Amino acid sequence: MTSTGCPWMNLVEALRDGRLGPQEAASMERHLKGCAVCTGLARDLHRIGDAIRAPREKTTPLSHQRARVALLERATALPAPRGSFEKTRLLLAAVALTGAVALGFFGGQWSAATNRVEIAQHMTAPTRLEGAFEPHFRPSDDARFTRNRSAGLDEVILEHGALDVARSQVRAGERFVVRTKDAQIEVRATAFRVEAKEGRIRSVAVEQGTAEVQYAGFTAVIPAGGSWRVTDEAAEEEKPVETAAPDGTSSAVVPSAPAKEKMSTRPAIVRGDGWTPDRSSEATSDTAAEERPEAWLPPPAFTVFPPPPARVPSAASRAFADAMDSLRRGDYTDSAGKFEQFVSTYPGDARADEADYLRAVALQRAGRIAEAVAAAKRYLAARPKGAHCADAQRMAGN
Amino acid sequence: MNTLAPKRLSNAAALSDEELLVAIAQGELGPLGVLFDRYHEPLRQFLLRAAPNVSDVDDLVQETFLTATRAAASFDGRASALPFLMGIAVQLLRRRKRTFARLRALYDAFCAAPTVSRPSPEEHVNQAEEEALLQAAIARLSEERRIVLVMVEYNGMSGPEVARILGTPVGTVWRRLHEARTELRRALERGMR
Repeated sequence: MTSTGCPWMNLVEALRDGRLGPQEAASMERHLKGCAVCTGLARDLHRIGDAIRAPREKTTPLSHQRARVALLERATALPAPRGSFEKTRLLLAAVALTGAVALGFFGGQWSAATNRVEIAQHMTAPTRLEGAFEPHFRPSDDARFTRNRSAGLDEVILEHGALDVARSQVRAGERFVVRTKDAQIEVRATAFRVEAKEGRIRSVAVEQGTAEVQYAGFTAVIPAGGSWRVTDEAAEEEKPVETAAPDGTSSAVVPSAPAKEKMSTRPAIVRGDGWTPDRSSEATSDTAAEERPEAWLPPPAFTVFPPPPARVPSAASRAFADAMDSLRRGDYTDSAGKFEQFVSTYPGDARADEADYLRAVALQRAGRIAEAVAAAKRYLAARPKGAHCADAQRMAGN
Repeated sequence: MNTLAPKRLSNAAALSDEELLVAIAQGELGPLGVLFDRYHEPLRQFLLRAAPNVSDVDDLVQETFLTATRAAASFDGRASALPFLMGIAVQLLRRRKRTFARLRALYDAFCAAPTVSRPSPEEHVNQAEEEALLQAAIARLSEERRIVLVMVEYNGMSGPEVARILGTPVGTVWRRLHEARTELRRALERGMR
């Protein structure tokens, strides 16, 4: 240990931290060769540095992967980042300028109620200044709906009436959902229309983007230009103008008139309490089509959706969750089979890597060691850069 | 901060740190995963040394990245995002100091602190014992001294760089570093007696 004794001692630290100039550093290094006190101090500092740099436990690829997933899940739940102050300031300036122009434009003509609507029309901000992601709602006169916004979820509960919604896009990590008592619509559309009656879904029409309707255990994906409507018997009783879907299923995606045409006539359609003559003539029922053959277009690619087809993403999620449930329950043989099924059914799914590895884990826990080793080897062969390679190698006995 | 063309996000792994943080500031989550892959381990290793008494380092790492998503717009565009993340982590550590959780963590650390018995003369020559002595002394350093020591000795940062991250004068950095080393050398001397 060093304690006292050399006037150069204070420079030892400075030399180590690179605070000395070239000449000072050179002379200090020369001094160190002949001074036991300063050499001892330098050795102590070196040992302290070594203690700080001493290796600590590193994360395994598996725990890294888990931490990554957890982070992204938590980040998804965060509210969207707010724009920078400069953007806000620019927006405020633009709004103030627009207001000033509007005031100047209307000048002395400002007179209470009569001009308010006109002013409001002129004061609409340019599209690019409006909230880029904020949806715009246009409800029918009789529409009743509530909107709940929480972290990452924008939810509209439609009780009655029709609702036209236009929005730019749904941001990454966010969901926009429309619910009724009996259905849920996961919206990825940018322009669409939903109708409900007494809390029950009646129809969905998509102009741009897509929407996924979950209704009575069915899932229907509606592409741009398509529409969906309830055709069950109860609905038929309420809507005598319409006829049942040809195959008699409880829900159907049906071809519709070009979406733009439909949407452009909305203000006239949604007037009244729902099924006015205007509206029934617009509905794409078989009867109406027979009367107006020009309203029918050749059936597009989308057709009736039976219970969730294998390629619907939620089916993959259910299959994976099912396998995980078996694993948690301790039904390892069942779990291994389900994971294998998952990998073969959804080889391109993001969870295929996890499933392939967990199959080996399940087999190992089931006591089927030889099969577990074979599964681990298969994992390593199929996924040489997989997230679980280190664990799989241990399992394979490498 | 610049704006980022959406097409570039398709290959987020090839983006620079600044581009990643621009994308994160715009609400993208994919680049956050890439940033996490790049700096999760270096940040964790920094915190394991700078905050050895914190029992939930992994939580702190997560908090740091989550806070970075909100603070991404303030990234100053330097080559590496690690100092930016370290600055956030240090702020989170300081904030914890003012909370009950901090008191609890201190209590936990006190309960779990390694008991360093006075080494016998035979053990003086034992390098492992000396290492344990130093590690215990490092754990007893004040947080501000330890953070500076780790940034300089482990991360190899210069005094001005540390000062920039911590928002303190450079002189304060050198003073804390000197005090930390002096304290550790005294601990070594006590152990040798």
